[in-house]
Amino acid sequence: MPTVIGFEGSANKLGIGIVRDGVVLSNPRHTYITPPGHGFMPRETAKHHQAHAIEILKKCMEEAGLKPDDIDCVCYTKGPGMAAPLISTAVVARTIAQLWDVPIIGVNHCIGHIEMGRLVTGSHNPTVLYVSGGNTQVIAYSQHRYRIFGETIDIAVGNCLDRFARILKLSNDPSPGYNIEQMAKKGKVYIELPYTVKGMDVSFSGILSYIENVAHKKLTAGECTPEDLCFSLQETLFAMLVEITERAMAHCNSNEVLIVGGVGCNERLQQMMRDMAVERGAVVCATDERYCIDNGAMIAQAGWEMYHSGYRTPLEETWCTQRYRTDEVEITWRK
Amino acid sequence: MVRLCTCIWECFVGNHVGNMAASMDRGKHECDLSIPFPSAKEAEIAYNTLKVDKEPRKEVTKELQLHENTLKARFTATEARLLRVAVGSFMDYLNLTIQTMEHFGPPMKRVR
Repeated sequence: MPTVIGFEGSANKLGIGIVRDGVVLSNPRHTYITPPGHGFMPRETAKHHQAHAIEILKKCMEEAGLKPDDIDCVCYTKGPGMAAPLISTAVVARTIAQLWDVPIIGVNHCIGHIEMGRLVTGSHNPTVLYVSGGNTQVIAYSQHRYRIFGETIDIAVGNCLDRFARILKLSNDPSPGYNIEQMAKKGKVYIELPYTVKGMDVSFSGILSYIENVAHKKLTAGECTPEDLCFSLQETLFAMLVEITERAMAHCNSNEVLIVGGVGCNERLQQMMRDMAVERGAVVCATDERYCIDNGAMIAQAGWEMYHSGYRTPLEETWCTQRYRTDEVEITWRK
Repeated sequence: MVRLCTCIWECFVGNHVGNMAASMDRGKHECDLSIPFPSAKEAEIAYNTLKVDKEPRKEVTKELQLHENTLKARFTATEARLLRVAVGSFMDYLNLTIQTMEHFGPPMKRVR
C-alpha cells in the first residue's frame, strides 16, 4: 500500500497531492492569476510557484494527516511544460526526496491526467481526449504506450480560448476558459468560423486570427456581441474535437471516451461529446474541476502506478524537459 | 528541530579579457559563489538538487562543487546580462532549497 506525494507546476497552477492505493488523501492547489488581457509568463509563474511551494506542501501533509515517515515515494512533473516553473517544482521535490530518504519518479504531465481520469471515472480502456492550454491530443492505449492518434498541429485548443479571452479583456479569474464558457451561455448568434480538421489532426491558429479580426470589426460596428463570439468559438472548436475523437473511436472500436485536461471542465464540450457518444452507443467519462485542472494528485496517481510497477528515477536524471511526448513513456503498469 | 541559519554567500565578478586574436575568448564574465551550510549532509542535498538542471543557454556555464559543508558554484557567460540572469535564477532555486530544508528537515535515514 504505497503512499505517494506528487508535485505539479508545469503551467500557472501549483499543486501538491497525496494518493494512497487509489484514494486521494489531499490535493491543495494555488493558481497564478494575471490581470485581464495578459497571459502568464514563465519567469513570473516560477516566482509564484517558489513563493507558495512551502505553504502548499505543509497544507498537503496536514490535510492528509501524514508525517514524512508515511510517504513512500516522491513524484514530480518531468514535463512537458514551461521550463522555469517545472524546475522550481522539481527543486522542491528533489530536496524532499533526499530529506525523507525516499525514491523519486519523474512523471509525464499528460499521463498524469490520463491516469487520474481513469482512476476517478473508473473507465477501463477509453479513447482519451486530452485538451488543455498546452496540449490537444487524441490518445488510445496500445501495447504499453499511450499512442497519439491525432493532435493539434499548432496551438492547443485551450491556448486558442485563453488568447481570445485576452482579446476581449475577460478576467483570468478563476480561468479565462471558464469565463468564456459563461459568456457563451448567453450567446445567441452563431458566426461562421473556419473549420480546420485535417484527418485525425486539428489546427487552431487560423481560427484565432480570424475571430480576432471579426472581434475588431464586428464589435466596433455593433454587429454582434462578445457573447455571440464566445458561443461561436466554442461551437466550432468543440465540434472539431468531437469529430477527431469520433474518428479515433471508429478506428479503435472503442465504446468509451475520457476527456481530461483543463478544457475538459467545459460543460458544453462534455455535452457535445455525450451527444456523439449516445449516437454511437458509447459512454463519456469526465471529471470535475478538482481533477480536470492541473493538480498534484494526478502526478501522485501516475507516480503510484509507476512506483508499483518498478519505476524509479535516479536523482541525476531528475531534470525537466519542456517537450516530453505522451508516447515516449513505456506503460509497464497496464497489460 | 535544528533551524538552518541564513546562508551567507560571497560573490565577486571578474571580467577577463582573453587573447585579442581569439574572438571566442573575448569578454568572458565569471561569478563565483561560496555557500556554507550547517552540515555536510545539507550541503550534499543542496548540491544534488541544484546540479541536475543544465543551463538553458550554451553561452552560460555552471559548475558546482562540494567541499565538506560548503557548496561552491562557478558561472561563466559571454555577456554580463546573461550572467546576471543565470545567477539570479540559481539564487532563487537555492533559496527555495534552503527554505524546503528549513521547514521539512532535518534529513531522515530510513531503515529498509
